[in-house]
Amino acid sequence: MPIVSVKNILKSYGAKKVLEGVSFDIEEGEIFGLLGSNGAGKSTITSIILGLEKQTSGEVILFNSKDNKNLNSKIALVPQETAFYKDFTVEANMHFFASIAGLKGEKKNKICNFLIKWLGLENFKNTKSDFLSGGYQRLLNIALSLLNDPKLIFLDEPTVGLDPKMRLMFWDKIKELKAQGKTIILTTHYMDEAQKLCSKVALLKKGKLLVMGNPADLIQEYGGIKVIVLKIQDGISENDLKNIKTTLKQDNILSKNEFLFIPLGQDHSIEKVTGVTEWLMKKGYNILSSTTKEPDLEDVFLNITGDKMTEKD
Amino acid sequence: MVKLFDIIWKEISLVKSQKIALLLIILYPLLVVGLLGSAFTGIDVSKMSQSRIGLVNDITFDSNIASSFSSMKDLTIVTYEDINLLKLAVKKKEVIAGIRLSGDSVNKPIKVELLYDNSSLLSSRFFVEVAKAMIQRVSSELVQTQLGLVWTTLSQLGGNIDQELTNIEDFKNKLAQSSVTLDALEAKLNAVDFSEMESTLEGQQNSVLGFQQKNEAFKNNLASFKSSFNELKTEYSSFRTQVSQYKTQLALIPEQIIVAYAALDLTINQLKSIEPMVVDAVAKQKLTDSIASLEAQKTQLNEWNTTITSLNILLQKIDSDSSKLNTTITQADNLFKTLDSESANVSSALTSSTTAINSANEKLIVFKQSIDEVKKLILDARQSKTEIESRLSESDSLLSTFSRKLVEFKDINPDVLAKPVIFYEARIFEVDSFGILVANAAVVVLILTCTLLTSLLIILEKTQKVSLRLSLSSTSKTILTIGKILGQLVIALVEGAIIFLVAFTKIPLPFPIMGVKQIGFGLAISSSLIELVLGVIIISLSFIAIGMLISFFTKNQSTAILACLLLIVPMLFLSGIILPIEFMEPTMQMISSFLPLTVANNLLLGLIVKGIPLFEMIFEVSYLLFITLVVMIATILQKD
Repeated sequence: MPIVSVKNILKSYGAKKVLEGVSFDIEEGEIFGLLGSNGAGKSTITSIILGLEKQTSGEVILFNSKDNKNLNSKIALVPQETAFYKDFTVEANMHFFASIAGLKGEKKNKICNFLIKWLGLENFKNTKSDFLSGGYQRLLNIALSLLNDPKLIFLDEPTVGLDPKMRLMFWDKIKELKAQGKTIILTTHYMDEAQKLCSKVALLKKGKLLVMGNPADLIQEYGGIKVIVLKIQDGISENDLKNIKTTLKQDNILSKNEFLFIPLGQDHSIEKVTGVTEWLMKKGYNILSSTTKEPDLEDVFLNITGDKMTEKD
Repeated sequence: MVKLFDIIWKEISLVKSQKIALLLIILYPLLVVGLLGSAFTGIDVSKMSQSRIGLVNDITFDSNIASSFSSMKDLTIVTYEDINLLKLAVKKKEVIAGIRLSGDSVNKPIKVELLYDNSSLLSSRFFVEVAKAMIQRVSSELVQTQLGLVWTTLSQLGGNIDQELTNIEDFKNKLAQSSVTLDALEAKLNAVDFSEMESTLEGQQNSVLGFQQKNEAFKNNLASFKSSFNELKTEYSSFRTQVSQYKTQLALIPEQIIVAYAALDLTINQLKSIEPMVVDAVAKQKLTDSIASLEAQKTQLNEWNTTITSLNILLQKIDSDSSKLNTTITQADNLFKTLDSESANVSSALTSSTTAINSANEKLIVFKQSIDEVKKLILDARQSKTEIESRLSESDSLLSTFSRKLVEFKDINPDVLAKPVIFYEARIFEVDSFGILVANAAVVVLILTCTLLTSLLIILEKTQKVSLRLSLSSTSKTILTIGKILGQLVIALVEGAIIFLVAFTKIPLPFPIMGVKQIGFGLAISSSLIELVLGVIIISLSFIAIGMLISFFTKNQSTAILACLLLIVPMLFLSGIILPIEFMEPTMQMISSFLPLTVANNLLLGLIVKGIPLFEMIFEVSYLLFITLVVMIATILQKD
């Protein structure tokens, strides 16, 4: 039985439909990724599942129950923005929300201490939350959400603004949570994050579920081909781009800013691309870097919707 | 329960974590009550009399109204020469208000101009009303004095009227007596028999007439006799004259004779002398004849002289006899005169008698007429008497009524008329004005802090997304709401405790610190402490509810602050704390009575000032609890 079952959710604000016929199931222990650009409906569906909003039509079944009013002890939300009292210390926040979560006495202390330690906050116990770095604030955010030992955890853009090290740490923690049997619904812009963490993703666009499945499967099916990405100082001229397209007989070569994207088709070889690289160098272009971009969920999104998910390097 | 306590502690901790908020919560009530207490402790209207009132006296007649002001012991009157100086003084606040008295006649009202600085809505208007009250008092005192004089005059008048009434009574009695007299008079008048008088007069008149006729006849006879006598007298007179002349002549004659004799003698002598001389016989003869003649003449003369002498003697005798006759004639003349006179007198007397009789007749007629007129007058007098009696009775009645009224007036105290109302301040509540300020300050502090703090903390939770976390927690919204409310209540109670501690305690300092000799103001509390605490709780709960209500509609703290101020500031002005509710329009008064701040203020005033038990202030308690309940329920039911 899926732990979360969303069936034909329709949500409209007046005439405007923000969710239209969204349906998916989330199995226990999954890390389910909700992907989509801004305004796709990710937060709305999350709110509906959490019971913070009411759907116009459709149903949500959590833990085999349509009534999600009494499921707060099993559910946790790690909001994108930090949700704690910034003027309280880490420990004070932990203790208060532990109390709110129904914990008391020794158990409360134990859990608080455990979470503080688990998330690496023990050195900041008595630090005012506002004084924590962004990463540690997010860790606190997570810690507070885990106080009630939820079975289902909503992570809303958990790693936004974090440095790579922190991100990795977050990912590790998420994996640990998964290992504990927790079901996680992850909302993220980061495709690599979804790719790395999610066992299943759902792509949303303008309130509609475009596609859902295992990231690898989706990539394979919709991801397209590899792309060589050349970073050229000052970019290339239109004329040279045209030449490249003509040389490689490929119109889908894209130049944007300093980047040149050369998708690798079946009839293309790395050698041909290498030739292009050398040609560019001869032309005097300074190639700063060369990377191979594997198709990812971004590509899946792009290929399915025609839009880019995000602006990124 | 533990959860609730944690939520309460969270609220308190949130405030504690804000050092400035903490400072404000403690300092703010201290400051408000301390300042108010220092500024207004012992406020008393009568002490406001230390304020200076300017006075310009432009009364042109002698009046003591201006001096009456100056003599009022609870006033400081500053006199100015003219109105412009007074206006300047008011503008410069050298005086609180100004009074200008003007008038040119004691029979016209004195014009009192009240000058005040109306840029200050309440205080100057208040002093104007105080000045008006003073003026009314002075006017009342003057009226009292005047009425006193009037009453004295009325009293005297009453005495005079009583005297008049007595006089009227006497007069009436006299009238009654006069009636008797009139009757007697009339009787006497009627008894007067004019016919006898008339006939007597007639007889008298006839007698007089007869006498007159006789007198006339006598007079006529006398007159003819007198005429004859006068003729005789005339003849006698001429005789005497002649005699006299004869006498005179005769008197001369001797002389003449003497002279003639002498002459003759001379002549004779001469002739004789010459005789010898004459030769002519004839001449001589003639001479001799002449001498003989002359001698004869001389002899004749001697004879004549003797005759004359005899005549003289005879004349003398005649003269003597005529003298006697003259005397007799004179006597007769005198007698005639006397007779004339007497006759005249008799005539006159008769005439007088006639006249008198006529006059008596006329007088009798007149008397008769007078009698008739007197009778008429008596009749008129009777009628007049009747009318007079009637009028006197009316006057008597009126004067009696007036006298009774005056007696009644005597019983009226003119002081009471001038001042029919004496104001006694029957204070329903024995309270220091500071107590009112404490109640006002407490509600103001509570509404500001409770409303602001509550709304800001809720907004804070919203902006920090804590509300989301809380809504997703297993703790019910009810508990969260109650915990929040209770947490804010604790803070409100702390503030209330600070306010009331400062207000109700009084700890003298061992030595003054910056002029402060004691801590606290020692205000007496009218109700019990428990009721006061309950009251503060009820009020705070409602204000917390208002704060929660504000947080429903605001998304950030600045908006929440503005919304709080938008709500609180009008309530401050309309609640009666700053301006009396009585100043407002009736509709506004009604609206004001339903404002939470007004109700809260009334509740605290009831507890602190009036000593009304809490359970008697049903409207206030239920209204505030109703607000709390409604908002609480709305909060719990509100979707996040």
